[in-house]
Amino acid sequence: MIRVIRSELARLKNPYYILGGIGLMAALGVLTTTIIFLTAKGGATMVPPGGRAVSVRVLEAADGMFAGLQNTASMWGIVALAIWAIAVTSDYSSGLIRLLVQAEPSRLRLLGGKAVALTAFTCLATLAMTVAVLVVSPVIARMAGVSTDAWGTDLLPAIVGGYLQLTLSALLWGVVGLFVGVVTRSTGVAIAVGIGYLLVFEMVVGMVLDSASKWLPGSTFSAIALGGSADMAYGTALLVAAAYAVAALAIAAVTFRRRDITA
Amino acid sequence: MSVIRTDKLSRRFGDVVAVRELDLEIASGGVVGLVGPNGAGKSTLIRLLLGLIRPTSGNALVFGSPISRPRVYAARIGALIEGPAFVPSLSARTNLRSVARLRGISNARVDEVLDMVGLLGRSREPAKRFSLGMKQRLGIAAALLPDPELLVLDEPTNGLDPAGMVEMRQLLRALGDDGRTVIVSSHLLSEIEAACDTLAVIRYGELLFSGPLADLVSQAGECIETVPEYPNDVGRLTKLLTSRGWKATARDEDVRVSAPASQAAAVNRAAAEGGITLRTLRPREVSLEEVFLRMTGERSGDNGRPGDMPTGDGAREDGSAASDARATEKPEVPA
Repeated sequence: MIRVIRSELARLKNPYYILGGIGLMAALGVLTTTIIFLTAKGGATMVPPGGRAVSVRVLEAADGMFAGLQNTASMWGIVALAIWAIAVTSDYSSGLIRLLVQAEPSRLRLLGGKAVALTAFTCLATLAMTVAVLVVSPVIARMAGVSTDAWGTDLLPAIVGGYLQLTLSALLWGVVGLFVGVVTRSTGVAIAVGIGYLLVFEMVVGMVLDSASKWLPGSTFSAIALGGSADMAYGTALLVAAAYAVAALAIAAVTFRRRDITA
Repeated sequence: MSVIRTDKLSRRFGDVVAVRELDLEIASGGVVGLVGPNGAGKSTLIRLLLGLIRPTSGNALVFGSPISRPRVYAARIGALIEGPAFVPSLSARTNLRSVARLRGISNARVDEVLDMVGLLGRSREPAKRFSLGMKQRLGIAAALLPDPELLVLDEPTNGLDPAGMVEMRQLLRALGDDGRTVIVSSHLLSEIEAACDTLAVIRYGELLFSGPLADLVSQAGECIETVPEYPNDVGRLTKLLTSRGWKATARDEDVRVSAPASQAAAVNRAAAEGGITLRTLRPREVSLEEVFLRMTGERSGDNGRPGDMPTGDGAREDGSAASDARATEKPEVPA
């Protein structure tokens, strides 16, 4: 397994992944934080699926610097989904999968190693995003007229807690990306399915069946990023998300293990 | 000792049989050519042996281990299947290091194989900047990484210039002479003829011939090529020679006579007696290409056959009949 992880990490040291993954997540984090802060006073913040309207009071709390990120978890979650999906599907589109499976015939080990390597990469990407937001949020808060007096109290727990929640949420989105990537084997289809699911399916379900929408993956993962929401307690969200993750990984593993390598 | 032994190995894709009850044995050492028209089942056979796909029925052993357990023998095999595959934005060296890490191979070996294929000087360049031939070399370098006892190369000379093809041939020969078994699948029969010791010919998933290359060509025999002074005499010359007991076949501007070189004078005399002057009289051996075309039906596999699957994916090759191992069906000899 260690060999697989090292091999995957070598390929993830790719400028496209670093700029397109880590860079994009950091940029998106800064962008969404900026929008949330600048619109908070008007009372019309962006509310993605599973998110909530953010008041100035929330932004002025001790962990307010992460409120923008936490409320847009599903948006940069899509980036995490895309990174994981591309890491899987590009092996098929490039034909690399032939070389990998021939070199390491244990397919579960291959998939497991890839998941571990992507987990490390996602933790790094989320860290870059957290640090970027941490650096720019005082400036944005000043521009938006949001008081940062409370930000100094319990700063370390706020940062660590915020980072862990964001990372866990991103990893769950990543697992969905792995699942969709293994099943579809197509980068375009995998990303389209992810975005279509979030922007169309969950929103439509939310409009039609308000009570059921909180159980859907996007809403559940957002609740985890928030550390629990009004619709779902943190513990419940963790359990539901774990069930989704286990199901997605199990289907991906069985599919990957049984399917012919015809790429 | 056999490196590969298949026993009624079959693989079906839906209604189409790509490999059917194939019995093949490949002995250890030397360069083995695996030839057949497009869609013959070569790539499917290679994928089966490497554990990329599973057989529908039958068995096969690689280094004595069943193909259901490729993990047992994977470290002893290097393969280039259906062209090189790399991360385009990474350098040649990083790409190879990634594969080396997966196999538990040191970085020093990466430089060794880069040197072997002549890419050491350009190893820091992204693979996407490489020409087709350089990518091919990189793919072969990846196959050589584990210092394999069995090297399986699918169309290794694709994209190589003439000098590169000669280098590749020399590399394959050196590896074969070194005691390794090298299986080369190729459409370039001249390359096969120049590089291989033995040959396995497959068509529609069946084995048509397996054995020394020299045996195949010698079975095909010799012929005498005759060209009459006037092209209009081709038909008359064919009838004349046939009436004298030779097997003669008219072609565009010449007549091929199935006969050894020692009968050239008799053929010339017969033509003269019939009032036909020969412009050319040339004994020649039947080429591997001619033997191959006769064996495989003189028809491109791309033109399809009943039950063909859509092309575009090597693993979806198809085939239909089986034959006995080691050889042995005598090829139909070109006239």
